[in-house]
Amino acid sequence: MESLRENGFEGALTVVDADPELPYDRPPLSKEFLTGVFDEDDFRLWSADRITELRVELRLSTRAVGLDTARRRVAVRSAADGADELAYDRLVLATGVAPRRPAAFVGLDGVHTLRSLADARALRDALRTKPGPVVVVGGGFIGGEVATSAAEQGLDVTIVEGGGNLLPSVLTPGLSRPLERLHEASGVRVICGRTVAALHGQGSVESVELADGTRLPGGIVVLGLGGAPETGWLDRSGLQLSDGVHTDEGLRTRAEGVYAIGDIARRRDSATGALVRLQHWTSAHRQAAHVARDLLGTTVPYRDVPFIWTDQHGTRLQIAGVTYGDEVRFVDGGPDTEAYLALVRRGPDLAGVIALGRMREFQKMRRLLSDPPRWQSVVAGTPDLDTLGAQA
Amino acid sequence: MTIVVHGRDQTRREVDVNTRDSLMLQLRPLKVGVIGVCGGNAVCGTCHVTVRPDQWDLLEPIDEYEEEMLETLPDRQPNSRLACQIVYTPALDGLELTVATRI
Repeated sequence: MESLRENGFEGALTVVDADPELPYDRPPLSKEFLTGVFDEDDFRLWSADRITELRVELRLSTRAVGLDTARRRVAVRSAADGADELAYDRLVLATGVAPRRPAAFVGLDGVHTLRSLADARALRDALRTKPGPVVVVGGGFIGGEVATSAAEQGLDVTIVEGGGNLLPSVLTPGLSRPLERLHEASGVRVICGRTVAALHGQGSVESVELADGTRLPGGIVVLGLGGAPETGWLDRSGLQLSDGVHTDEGLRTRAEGVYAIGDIARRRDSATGALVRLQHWTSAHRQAAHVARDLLGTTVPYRDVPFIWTDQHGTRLQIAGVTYGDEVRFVDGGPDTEAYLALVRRGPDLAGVIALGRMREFQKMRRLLSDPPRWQSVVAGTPDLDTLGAQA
Repeated sequence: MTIVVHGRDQTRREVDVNTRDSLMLQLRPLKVGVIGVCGGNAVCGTCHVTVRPDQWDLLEPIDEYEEEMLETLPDRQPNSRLACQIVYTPALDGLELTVATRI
């Protein structure tokens, strides 16, 4: 919306959002907001005044429930205004993901997921008022950050991750080990390779039962099990759906004038031909800017080197490009050090950079990824280190 | 070591800075409009400040990531910087910053 108005778009703009809140940024919800560094106003994207200035019609607490691409209509529904239909010339789908919450884990108080500001308020209040202990189910980005925030507030915290290591979707065991030690040094227990079978309690959760029968006491349970794309409302739209909305390289869906961006977009990557869905904040921004340009008729090829970061116990993990390639090599540090810089090879080229506690070095290497150099030219001159495969 | 910060609320403050943390991290507890949603990755623009022009050369040059972010800010000025990319050093004693208007 900002880009469109800034570049002179004069037409009507409408935003439909199921959330009742004025739009806000999500990265602080698992970090600075939980620990009290930020107030809600610190990470609002738009004030009410700004929305007026932009001449955007913002329909909050309103859910999109259906799409008719032939008639170019979106069906919406809200508790206050009931059902309505909105006509469009161009439509951008950005409904994001909903946190996974297995049916077995529903029904007890004290069990949290974290996606919205309302979720974060509830979790923040629980961390302030309840004694814990805290059990975080899932050792991904949200899990690690929530564990960090809870430990900072003096709570007893355990992370349970079903995979073999923390952040299994992006890190190999050797890359994850320093992160696991970091949690343990900060008082967080890390249990990997075991899944949660059941939650127990009278009304409110009291313990967590693992698949091997172990019971962990838990007054606050946080489910960090990833999210599923919110595409149910598009089931009868005729769009191609499977783990998101399929788009071409330029984020266009198969329906005329309809784009998908952010967590729900499963975009055709021109380099590999694969459909890729990224849940990165930085990619969502880049995609929004790309579509805004496209809507204004100044299309340029979409380019993005994926970039994510997470802050855990005062140390920053940064990842750019791909994480699982054909080879991962440490160029500084390793599985047994506190900090490291590692490179990822795909085919003959450098394809990814991963750093823990090495921000400056990371930025230097990340720069190379916009025009990937040959692997040999990058690793030549670095000591002949064992590759990760040999150490993990 | 002291820097001067003109807040979004029109206040002028002298702030003691003593560590080698970025100015974003040191200024955000003051609640004068330096926020740092992205935690210092130069990808959000919420720690946008302007630097007193005659002090510009005291700062390290802008790298390509900071430049990329600054380019997207509609209210960028010739003396705009991201406070998360300014690491405090003794040479910056007396630095004067103005917090950019948040849009």
